[in-house]
Amino acid sequence: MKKSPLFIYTTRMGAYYHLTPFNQQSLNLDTCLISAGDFFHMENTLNKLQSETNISFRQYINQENKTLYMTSIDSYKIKCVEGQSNQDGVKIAQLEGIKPITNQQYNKLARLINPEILVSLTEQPGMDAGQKSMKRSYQKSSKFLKESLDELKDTQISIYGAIQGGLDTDLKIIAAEEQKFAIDYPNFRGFTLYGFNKGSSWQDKEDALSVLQSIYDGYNLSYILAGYGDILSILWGMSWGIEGFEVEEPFRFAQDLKVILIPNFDAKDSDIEQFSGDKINFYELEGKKINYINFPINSDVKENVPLNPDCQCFACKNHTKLYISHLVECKEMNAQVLLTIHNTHQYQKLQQKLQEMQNQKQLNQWIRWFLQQL
Amino acid sequence: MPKSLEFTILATHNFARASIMRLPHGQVNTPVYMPVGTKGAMKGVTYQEMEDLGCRLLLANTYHLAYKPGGDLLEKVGGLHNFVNWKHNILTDSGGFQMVSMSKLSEVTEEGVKFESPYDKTIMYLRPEDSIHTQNQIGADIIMALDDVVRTTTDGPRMQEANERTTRWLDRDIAAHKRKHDQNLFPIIQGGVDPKLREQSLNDLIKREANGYAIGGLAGGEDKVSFWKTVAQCTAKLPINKPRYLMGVGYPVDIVVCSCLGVDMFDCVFSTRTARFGTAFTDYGFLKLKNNQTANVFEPIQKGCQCQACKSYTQSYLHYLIAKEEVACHLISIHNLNYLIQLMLNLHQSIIDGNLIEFVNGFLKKWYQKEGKIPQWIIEALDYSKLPVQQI
Repeated sequence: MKKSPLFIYTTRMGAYYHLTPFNQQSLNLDTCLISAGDFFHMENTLNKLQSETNISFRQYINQENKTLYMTSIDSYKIKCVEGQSNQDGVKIAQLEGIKPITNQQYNKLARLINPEILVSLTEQPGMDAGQKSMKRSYQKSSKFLKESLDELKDTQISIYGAIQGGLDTDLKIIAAEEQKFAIDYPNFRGFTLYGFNKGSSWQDKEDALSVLQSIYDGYNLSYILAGYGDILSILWGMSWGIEGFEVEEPFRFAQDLKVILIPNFDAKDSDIEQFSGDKINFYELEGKKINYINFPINSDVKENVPLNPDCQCFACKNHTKLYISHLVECKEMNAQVLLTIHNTHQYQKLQQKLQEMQNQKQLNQWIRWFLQQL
Repeated sequence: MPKSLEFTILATHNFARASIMRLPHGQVNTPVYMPVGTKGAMKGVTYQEMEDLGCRLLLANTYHLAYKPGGDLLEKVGGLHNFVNWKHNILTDSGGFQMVSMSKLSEVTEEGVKFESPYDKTIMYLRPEDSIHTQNQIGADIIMALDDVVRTTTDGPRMQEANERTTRWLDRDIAAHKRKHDQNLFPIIQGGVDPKLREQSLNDLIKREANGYAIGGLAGGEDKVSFWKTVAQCTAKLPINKPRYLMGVGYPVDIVVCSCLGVDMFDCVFSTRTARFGTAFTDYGFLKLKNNQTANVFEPIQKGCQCQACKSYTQSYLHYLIAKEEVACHLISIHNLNYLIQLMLNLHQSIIDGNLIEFVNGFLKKWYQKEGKIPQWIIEALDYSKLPVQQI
C-alpha cells in the first residue's frame, strides 16, 4: 500500500463530489474509490476507449497519478449490492437500477479500469440476514476472491478480499477462515473489512477486529476499513493497525450542509508524553463525538467571518460563514462546493498528522490527547 | 475625483466598436458578455473560477438579493463585492423584470409596483426609490433604473404608458441615487418594437445625463427582423462615446450580430441554464451531451478550448457523468461561460486588427454549417452594418 494511513476518497463515476479540477487544486487528493456499479453500463465505451484510442481510463476520468481503488460496494449509495441465489454473481446498483452481474464481468471491468487495488466481489448480507444467507455470503465472497486472484494474476492489480459477517465474532471467524487460502497468492494483499458501521458499539467493533486479526496473526497483510470513514473510526482503526480507510464523510457532510469542526491537531511533546502508547480501548471512545455546524445559521453580521479563522482551506481563506449560509438559504450549489472543500481539507490535515505521529511512534499517545478534547 | 466610468473606443468597424470601459473595480474590454450570478453565486462555479475565465464584469439580481440576504445586511458588510469576495465589477439590474415575470400578482401604478413575493407570498411594493436604495446598498459598479416592464409584443396604450412612465421613474431613480460618484446609473430604453415609441424613449432618456444606456424590452418573443431593426435604431441614436447594454441577450449569434450593430454589453442566463441540461456551446452550434451520439466521442467539447472541461474531459465522459454527478453541470457551465467570454474577446480583437469581416464570416460559416444556410435576418442586419456576409 502506498502510505499509511491511506484515505480512499469516494467518487461518483470517478468524479469527486462537486469538485472541478480547479477546486481540487488546493486539496491534493491522491486516491479515488471507483464504484464498479457506476461503470457497467458503459462497458462498450470503455472497450472502445481501450481499443481505439491512446487514452487510459485514468486520463478518461481525469485522475492520473491517483491510486485507484475499485470495489463493488460504496457508501454513497443507499443499497449497493444485493444477494442472489445464483453462485456466479450478485446484483449491483447501476445507473438503470439493480442488475445481476457475474464475477467474470466484474473482473473484466477491472481489466478495463486497471486499478492499483481491487476489492474482490462480495455478496453483502442484509441487516437481518439469517444463517443461510450469511453462509452463502461467505462462500461466494471466497469463491469470487479465488477467481479474481486467478484471472487477474497477469496484471499489476493488488487484490483484497472482502470480509463480511457484521460484528458477530463467530461469523467473522468463519468469513475470515473461508478466505485464508488467499495468503499463498502473490497478488493478494489483505482485506477490506465490512460491517464496522457507525451505530454499533465500540466494544463489538473491537471484539470483531480482534478475532479477525488473531486468525491472520503473523501474516503480512494490510487492512482497509470500508464505510463512511468517520473520524473516530479512523482513529480507532489506526490504533488497531488498520492502514486504509474508505472516506465518504466529508462529502456526505457537505451534502447535508454540515461543516466538520475538528479540534486542534497540534500538540506539544509534553502534552502527549503523559499518555499511554497502548492500543485505544473501546471505552475511551464511548461518548466521544466530532462537532459540526449545521447550515443555514442566523443571518447576523457577526457571522461574516471564516468557518474557522485558523483554517487555511480555500473556503475559509476566501469566504465567510454568512456567505455560505446565504448560499444554503438560496439553494445554491456553491454551498456544497465550499463545504466539500473545507471538510476534505480537515481530513487531509488529519491524515498528515496521523502519518507524522506514526513516524514518530507516538500515534496512540496523540490519539488519546486528541480524544480528550472531544 | 476620478470618473466612475470612462469609455475609450480603440477601434471601430462602422457601427462595431472595440473599447475599454474603466469602472471602479477595474477595466473591461468590450464588447463583453456578462455572466449572471443571480443570488450572489454562479450556479456551481466559484467566483475564483470566474476570474480564472477572464470575467471582469458580472451580474447580480437586486430582486433576489433584496430578499436574501437583504440590502441592510449587504450594506453592513460593505456591499456585495465584499460579501461574495469578488474584486472585479458588478452590474445589478433594478428588479423590475423579475418582479413582473416571477410574481403571480403584480400591479403597476405611478407610485411603483405592488407584487406578491414568490418566496413567502407577502405583498410587497417596489418604487423607483426602493430599487435605487437597495442597489446603493449592494454597491454594484453599474446599476439600472427601475423601468415599467411590459412584454415586448405589447402594443397600444399600455406600451405608450410604460414608455412614458419609465421616463418619469428615471427622474425619480436619478433623484434617489446617493452614490453618483462610484455607481453608474444606466437608463433603459423602452418602446417594444414600435419605432415611434423607441424614438420617443431614446429622445427622453438621452436628455438625462448618464454614463451609459441600456436597451431593454427585447428578447421577449419578437421576430428577428423587428429585433435587429430595433437594436439598430437604438445604437444609431445613442451617444457614441457611451457604452450600450442590450439586456437579456446572450445567444452566440445574437451577440455577434448585435456587436456589429454597435452594442457593447450583453447578459443572459442561457449559457449556464442550458449547461445544466447538458447543452454546450461550440463553434458548430449547440452540442447536446446527453445525446447517445456523444457516448463514444473521445474528444473535448471543442478542440482548442482552454477551459477546464475541455482540457480535462471528453464529450464521452461528460455524457455519462451528467446522469450521475452535478460536477458535470459545473464543467459545462464553465465551458459555456468561457466560450462566450472568449467569443467577445476575439471579436474585440478582430475589430482592432481590422479583420472583423473575416471573423464574422468565419463564425457564421461554422455556426450554420449543419443547417447549410445563414438566416436572412442576419444577412440583412450585417449588410446594414456594412459587413458583407457570404451565404453558405
